[in-house]
Amino acid sequence: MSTMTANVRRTMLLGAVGVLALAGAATVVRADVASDKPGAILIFPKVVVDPSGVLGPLPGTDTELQLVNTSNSVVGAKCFIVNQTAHCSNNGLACTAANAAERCGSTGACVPPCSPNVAENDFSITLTKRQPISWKASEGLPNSQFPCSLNAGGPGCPGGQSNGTSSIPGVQEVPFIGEIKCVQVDAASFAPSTGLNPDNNFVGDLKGEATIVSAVTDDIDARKYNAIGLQSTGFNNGDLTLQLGGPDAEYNGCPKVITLNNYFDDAPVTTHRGAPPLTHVVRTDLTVIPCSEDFATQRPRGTTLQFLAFNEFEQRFSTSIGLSCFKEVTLSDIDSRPGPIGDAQSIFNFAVQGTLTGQTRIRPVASTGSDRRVLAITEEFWTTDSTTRSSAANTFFVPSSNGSDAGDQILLPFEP
Amino acid sequence: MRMVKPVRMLWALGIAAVGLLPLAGAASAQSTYATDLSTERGGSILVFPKVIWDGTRDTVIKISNTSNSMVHVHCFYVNGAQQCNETDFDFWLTRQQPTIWVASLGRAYLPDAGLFPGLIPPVPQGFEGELKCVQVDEALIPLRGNALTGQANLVDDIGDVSQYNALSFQGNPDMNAIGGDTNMTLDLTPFNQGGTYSACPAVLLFDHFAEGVTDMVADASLSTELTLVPCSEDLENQIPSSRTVNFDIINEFENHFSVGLTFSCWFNEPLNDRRFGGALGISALLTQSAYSRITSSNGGVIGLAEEFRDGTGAAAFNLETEGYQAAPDRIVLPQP
Repeated sequence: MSTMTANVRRTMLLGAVGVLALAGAATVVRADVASDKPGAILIFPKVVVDPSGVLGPLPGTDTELQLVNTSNSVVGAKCFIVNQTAHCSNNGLACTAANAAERCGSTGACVPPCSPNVAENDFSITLTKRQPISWKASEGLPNSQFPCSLNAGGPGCPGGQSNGTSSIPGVQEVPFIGEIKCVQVDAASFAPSTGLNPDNNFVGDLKGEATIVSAVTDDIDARKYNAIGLQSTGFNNGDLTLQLGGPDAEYNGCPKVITLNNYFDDAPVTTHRGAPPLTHVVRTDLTVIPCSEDFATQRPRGTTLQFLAFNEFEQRFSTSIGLSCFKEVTLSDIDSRPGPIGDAQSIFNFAVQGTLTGQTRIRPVASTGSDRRVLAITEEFWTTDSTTRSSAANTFFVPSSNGSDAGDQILLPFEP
Repeated sequence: MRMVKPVRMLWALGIAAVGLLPLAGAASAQSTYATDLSTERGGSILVFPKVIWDGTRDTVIKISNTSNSMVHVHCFYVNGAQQCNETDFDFWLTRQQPTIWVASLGRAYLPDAGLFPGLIPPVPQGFEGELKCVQVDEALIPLRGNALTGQANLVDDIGDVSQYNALSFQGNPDMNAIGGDTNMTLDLTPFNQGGTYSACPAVLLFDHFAEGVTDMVADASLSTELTLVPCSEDLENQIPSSRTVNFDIINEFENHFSVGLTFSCWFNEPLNDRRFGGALGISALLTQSAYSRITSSNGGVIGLAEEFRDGTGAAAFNLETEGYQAAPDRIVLPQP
């Protein structure tokens, strides 16, 4: 063999090995969303302001929101308050499916949210290094109250850092129910960006919590959940289309299946061995929002949710429900009429299942070009003879395959 | 001899490909959390950091099998109020089966309450500690099936309730072929995918209100209780692990404060506990909210927090995490 032929062969071999190895190493194993890690998109699925108890069982309700920049760099966030409050068609009062007859009377209907369009207000903020902020949903946080605002008149922040013109509006109306989505953006250009923290591999720097507090004089109840974070994949072209999962993903995709460790509604749970034992009746509210969101044209992106419920006898039941852009529903109302009528016949009720707890799997039905995936949180309401108290928790996710996913999209509005 | 153009191109392609290999590896590791400690995925080890039965507060435990196979679960109550004494029990779950029990009551055989998973003992009154549950095989040897999810409700005697998700350590199912033993190494990361179970985090991210601040909604004094447990546990020799933790506390003005403390086995105190030296209180922080980064110099810690408003209105929440411990933690189970 001539030297030239051997050289060519060695070269081809090196090139082939290098390309093959690179292709293998570059296979990205994307995981799902996380509420226990910072992210580049932060989602609060349920924000409630309800002084009179119109939208839920507990009056005097407002939501405390906490947001932190976990990185050692200044970051920006572009946030959207999405109003999901339903209203009566005749008198404009806020309503729910369960109290439609009472609020709207016989001449009106309770028109669901995002019909025909999604209603959102947006705001932009700048957070300094590792800065936490908090605000009440009903009031927001004006610029003068931002700790490092140039207008605050306070001690300011180290190194001349500033919150700039940050300002957070209160929710659009009271009573209010809806969600907040925050996208991490470059602090200078306000274009969507990856994370800035090398210690978490640049997946995102925003973390947050929401506490729904109900207080009437001395009667206080609170429930708290972690905001759900969508992690950056490390690639972001900075345009107004945020690709969640699927090809050319800029963020991890939403989970394929959501699972709940739920009590069946009206389950009697006895605690406190000894005298006196305490028996509670538990009901669960599920709040589901779509991952995809079109803030550009404000068109809702819905799907169908398939439910599979297992009880402690390993018996399996299924049902389905439509999701237009937001759904907050008591489990027993998923497959029965809104309100208490029919609950005892629901597959999510203790009266049907006969066991206290179940495991429920929620799978959104994909459409062409979009996975139409969803995110969710749950709230439990524990009732004794004298009180109703609540708790909240993030749901569980079944890891998605990602390989053949179409992904979801968040479309940001164009701002000239 | 002068190389012809195609050969030069091949050389360049090969060199470039090899040169980009480390970056590709980093990009691959950057995007995955399938190995990480989680509070929302099925795992092979569940940790419930806060289990209480003190006559006032009780705890309800829910565990589900998320797989389509039967799973065997070996659980350990670790009593932080009694020198880290442990009580263990095991039960079976059929496919997709959930189960529930109350810490003060345990679970006896109840014919109409679902498929009987197995007897679960009650904890003694005065119990304050954690519950660890490990997916195991028939011989009680750890099995990395990632089938378990868990939640706990903390309920007081007037009906106030809070809820948190159990922390779940992912197991590397590839290691099942090698076989397992009762010495479980927590070293699985995106950068060490040959590890066994999820590594503990390097940092706990704790976003909280200043202790004693007036709550925005309830006009009540707000207090937060922090619970920490060491990742490492020697249940065979019953030797409690101790940890020295440091808090880097940042207020809304980006002022930094710090405090350190040492604890053994289990830590559960409000943020105005004397060991914090007042560093987490409103008098020191001067702002409504704060962000604390919790690190440990001698092994991993995990935990959760719970808020109270005028002593009621309990709301528990999981802490977030960042990074991975450089040295692996270990959980040693008793020999079966």
